Amino acid sequence: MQRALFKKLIRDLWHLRGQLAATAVVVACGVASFVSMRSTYASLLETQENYYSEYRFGDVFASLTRAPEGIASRIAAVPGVAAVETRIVSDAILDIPDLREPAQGRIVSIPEIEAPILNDLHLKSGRYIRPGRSDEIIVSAAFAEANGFVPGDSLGAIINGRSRRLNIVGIGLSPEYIYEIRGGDIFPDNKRYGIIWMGRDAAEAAYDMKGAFNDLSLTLAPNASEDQVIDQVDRILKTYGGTGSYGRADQQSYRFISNELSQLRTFGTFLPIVFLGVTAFLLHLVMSRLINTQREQIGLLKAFGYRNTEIGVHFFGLAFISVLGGIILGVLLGIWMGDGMTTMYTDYFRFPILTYHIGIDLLVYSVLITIGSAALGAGSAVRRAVLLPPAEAMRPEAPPSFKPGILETSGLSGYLSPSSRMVARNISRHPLKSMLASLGIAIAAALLFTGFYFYDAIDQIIDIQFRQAIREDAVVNFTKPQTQKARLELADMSGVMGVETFRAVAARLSAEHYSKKSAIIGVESEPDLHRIVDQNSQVRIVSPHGLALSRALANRLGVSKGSFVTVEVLEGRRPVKRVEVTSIIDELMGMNAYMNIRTLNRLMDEDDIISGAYLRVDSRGEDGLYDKLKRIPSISGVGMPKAILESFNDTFAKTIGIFTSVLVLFSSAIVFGVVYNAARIALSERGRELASLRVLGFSKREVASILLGEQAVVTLVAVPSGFVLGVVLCATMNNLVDTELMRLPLVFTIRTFLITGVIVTIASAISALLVTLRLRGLDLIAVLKTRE
Amino acid sequence: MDAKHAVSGTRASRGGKAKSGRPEAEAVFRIRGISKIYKMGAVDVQALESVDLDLYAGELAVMLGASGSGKSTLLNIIGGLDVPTAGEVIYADHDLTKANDKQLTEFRRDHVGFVFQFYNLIPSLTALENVQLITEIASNPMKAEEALEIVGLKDRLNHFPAQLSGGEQQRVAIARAIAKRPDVLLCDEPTGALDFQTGKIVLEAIQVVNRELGTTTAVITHNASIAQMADRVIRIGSGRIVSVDINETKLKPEDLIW
Amino acid sequence: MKVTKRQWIYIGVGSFVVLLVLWGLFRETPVTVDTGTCKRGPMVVTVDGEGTTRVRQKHTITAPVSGKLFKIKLTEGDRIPHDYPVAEIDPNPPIQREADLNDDLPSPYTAKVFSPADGRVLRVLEKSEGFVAAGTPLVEIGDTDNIEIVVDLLSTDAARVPPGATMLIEDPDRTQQLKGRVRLIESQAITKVSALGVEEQRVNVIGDFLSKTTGYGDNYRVDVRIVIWESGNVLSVPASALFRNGEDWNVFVVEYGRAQPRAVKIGQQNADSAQVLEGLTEGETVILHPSNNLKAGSYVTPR
Repeated sequence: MQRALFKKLIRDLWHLRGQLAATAVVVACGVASFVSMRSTYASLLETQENYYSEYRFGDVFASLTRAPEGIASRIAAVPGVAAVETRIVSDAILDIPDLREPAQGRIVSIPEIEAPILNDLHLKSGRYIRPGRSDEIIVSAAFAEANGFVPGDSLGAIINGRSRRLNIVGIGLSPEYIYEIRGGDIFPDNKRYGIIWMGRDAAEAAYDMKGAFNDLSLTLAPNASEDQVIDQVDRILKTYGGTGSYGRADQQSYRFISNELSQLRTFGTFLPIVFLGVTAFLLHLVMSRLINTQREQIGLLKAFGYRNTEIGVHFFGLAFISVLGGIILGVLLGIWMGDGMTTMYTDYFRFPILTYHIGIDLLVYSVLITIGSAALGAGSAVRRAVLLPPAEAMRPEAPPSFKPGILETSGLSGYLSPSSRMVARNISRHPLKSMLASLGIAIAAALLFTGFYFYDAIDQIIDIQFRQAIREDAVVNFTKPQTQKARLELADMSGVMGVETFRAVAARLSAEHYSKKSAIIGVESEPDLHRIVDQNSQVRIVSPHGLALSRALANRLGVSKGSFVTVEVLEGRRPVKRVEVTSIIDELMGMNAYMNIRTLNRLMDEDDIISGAYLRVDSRGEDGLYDKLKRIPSISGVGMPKAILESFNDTFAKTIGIFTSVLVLFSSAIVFGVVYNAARIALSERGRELASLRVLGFSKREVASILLGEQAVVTLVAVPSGFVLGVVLCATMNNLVDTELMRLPLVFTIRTFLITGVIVTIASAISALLVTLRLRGLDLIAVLKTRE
Repeated sequence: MDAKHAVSGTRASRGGKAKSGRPEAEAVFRIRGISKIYKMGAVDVQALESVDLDLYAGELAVMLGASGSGKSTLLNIIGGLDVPTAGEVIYADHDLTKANDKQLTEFRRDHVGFVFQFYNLIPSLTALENVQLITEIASNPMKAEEALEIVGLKDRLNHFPAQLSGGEQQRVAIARAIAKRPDVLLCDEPTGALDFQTGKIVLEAIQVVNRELGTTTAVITHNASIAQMADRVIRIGSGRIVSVDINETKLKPEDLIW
Repeated sequence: MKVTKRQWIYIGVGSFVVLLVLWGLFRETPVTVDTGTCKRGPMVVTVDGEGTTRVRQKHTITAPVSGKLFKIKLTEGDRIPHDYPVAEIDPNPPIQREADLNDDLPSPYTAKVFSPADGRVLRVLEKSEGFVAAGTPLVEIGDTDNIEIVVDLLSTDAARVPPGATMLIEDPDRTQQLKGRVRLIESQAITKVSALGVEEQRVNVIGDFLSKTTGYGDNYRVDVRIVIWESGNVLSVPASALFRNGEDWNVFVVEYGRAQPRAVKIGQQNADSAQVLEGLTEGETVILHPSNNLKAGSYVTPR
């Protein structure tokens, strides 16, 4: 029956409401970040998994030149193969009304009659094709959206040399083409490249493939070995021109989305833990200091016979209720945000199913960790007080020993006003407390810094990749490799101001037991339009001998400069040669292998052959040029780097952008919370002392300056420490965010440092203002009533 | 001034009642060889030096001494609020100095009421609630309102310490101490901030508790006039007991003048 | 409220810091750019094409009679003088003789075939021994010092070639530049399908090497650049600096660390440079490949 104690609890909570609100904000932000980021990441992974299994996404894919349908049963008979789907896949040039450039479509065959297949189609709108209607097609959703297609529209296509009119009857999604990326590109170009699903009979007829197929996908039985299956399948398909089968890891769309999700991983795992950890640390600090201010009261309770457990429960209650609000708010906010983010990402990845799932473990962790750290903080303070003999606890803390310190012996103290001297001495007497307060602010500042760093990193990628490296206006790809005559022909076209050629060759690179199916890109010796620029903005020239590899690829193969790599060319005469790695390039995007174009031609035992060209185009002649290029059958596609930049902004940049905004928002709130708390607690602790000073005749301003002076010094020290911590945090996350397709440069701009500092300063100023207002209400009379 | 009426209860069963202050009554506290050294930062202060003292059941003892003489320290040690550097304190066959924290807490909870020099009221509780804080864990307390009435604060029940004068705060502290009807009452300068009239009220309350409940009472003061109401006057100086005098004639609080 | 001297110092320093911070926050980050200069010098505009070398005077030596041709001991590139015996034919090979076909003792009545002129062996057409009918081409010879270049150009390009225009050809080792001169532009256009599959009208342009020794033989592929305009002293700007502004050409000039757009009038253009007629003066710095984030007054940092 301890109602009075309970009333004390309530009244204390009310009295501390400002601070508790600040603490609640910190807790809410920490918990919300943790819950939202983790749940979003986990939900996306789950959604992806569900999507893949519900729609039977294949495990292994293979292209070949041509094989009779009967081979399918041989493939199915390979041990480890669960199901096989053969299809006809080929690229075609599209003529889209209102699009002046040529576009490309990947034609993929589907059964004439709708049936569950591997890599199944999800119809978003419209209907399935009707059997026997060879003109009916289903197009991919991103492509349709970019071009404004609806069922009923039609487009032209040059299929196998013949011009055809195709009618769109449905818009679909497939797990195989979540991202529709043209071979050779890194990013989707949704306006100019899309997937076209066509009836099997129609495709067979169009490509003269009756009773045959040129592409297949299969699923593996449980516990099957992918490598073994691939080996067997390749053996069977070799005679039919198989180019080598590959698993999901090398499937373009899967890779792209895995990379994106991979990047989110740091946001989904590392960061939330940092947030929660920071929150726990700050809570511990706050509770500890808060309870400390109650030291005398604890002594009193003990003096009157309250047991340790009774006191402990009381203060645990204080801690618990203090954070409860924050936790509830944080969890609700986290769930709401997580749901929103997951929906956003689901739309953006075009998953047809949405799963938002909060693991109970998430909630349990956040609640346990927050309450736990608050309890620990409170508990340690209570314990300290309770272990003392009550008389000691009730005695005001002994004045700290004031011995002459650095300040005095160096004579510096003479330059400071008495107030400043008090500030300096106070700080040096309890250095640990000041340091911890500083550390709290520094960590919050570091989190904020990291958020701004991400924006800078994205800007830098855009600058390096799209303004320094890729400077062409268009990229032309040929259906078959051409001679230099093609270069001359392009150069001659009106509207073309400059031409640079390249040769792209599909090859498998291997070193010891590591291998990667890749493409070797032969580039001109002194390129001007399309350059290789590394993450330090250095332009890299490819040596006339050997291979230049992206560091990501070099790491995958376990090679370094000077190592030798076996190059197994997968087209043409398929030569196999050993080539030296003459340089490693720290590129920001892709896993590329470059060679000098002439050297590559020699490797291929061919003349001066090119696969395509980069063009500089006179904008006045653009329309005419693209129109002309559209009609040239040996040009398989024209890519626009402008579109790729847009694509990048819409994919990676957006992905990181959303999470970064959440990060910045929450970090800012935490900065405010931490700074305000530090000031308020200092006021609580020193209230009596400061009031005494007022009684002694110090003016309000002078007393304020003593309290705030200490806070200012703590904050001033925190800011550069925050920068250092921020840089370390960024470097750590930078490594985590690295994926095969993209790496973030470690770039720190002055603006980021400044804006972090400014936000911390503003937070300090606002808390200083609030604390000063409180100072006014300092009860001087209460001090006077106390006898010595 | 209804102190006598407020104090009721079955304390008559507690020990023999003849509180004549004579040494024949049993010693409730036996204090032997108590020393206490404080470390105040860089300085060691010897507050008490080998103090021997007995406190008898039901007596009203006044400890007299100048400030800094060590009397507060002695009182704290007697009440189990502080631990001596050396020596022993035996309360009814229990050696307090050998008791652990839990046992000391139970001791204080069940037997001791305190009035502190600095009042030490809980600022976030009203006067009434401050008293209730203690009555709620006592086994046989008087009602909190009654205690406050005894000290003359009937009209101030719902005021917070911040709204009370120093003297009123002191009286709340006293009400708090007596409300639990303790076996032992230890008061440190209970009339320090009070004027003449109010001081007497407080001393009367103490006396009532001492007489009607048989509470062994020790009062610290530097005011020699108050010593006149005590059974024994223990003079303390420089950390030692200077003298112990027995009052042949005790004055009533209302007769004290200072 | 009096403000002490010390406080003035604080206020002064404080304001300075605040201004510095504001400047740091709101200033435009300079864009990293590549630059080039408007300079004076020679400039050449060419029409490029892929051509073939052709020995002007070719002789195809044929078999005068039918018979067994003995192995021709010549190889391509051999230099032979006038009247050199290039081949031998036995019109009456002894069929009954169980003769070793490797027996190359000439029978008394073999026919010898002689070279009609000095020159080099261009091609050995009949490489192995065996029976040949009369008239079968055996060896092709020609004077490789007397070769011409045949280039086919788009008829629109050919129209821009003045007679006697200089031709620039790389030597076979790609180390030097050889010169030639256009001798003849055929009047008859031929319809051809281009490398990329487009139908084109092409015209042959024929030229001669100016130097005697070229290192080229017959039927070699050469990259030919025909000069249709040149000047020794032209104000030019790198072509990659140009961008369109409506119908006009503009460049970004770097002035005091900032990019300023300027209209220019351009004359002749080749892949690398453009002749400046108006708008730029010698020595001015221009931005190459200006990106779309540059505006008038943007701060730039040359790489």
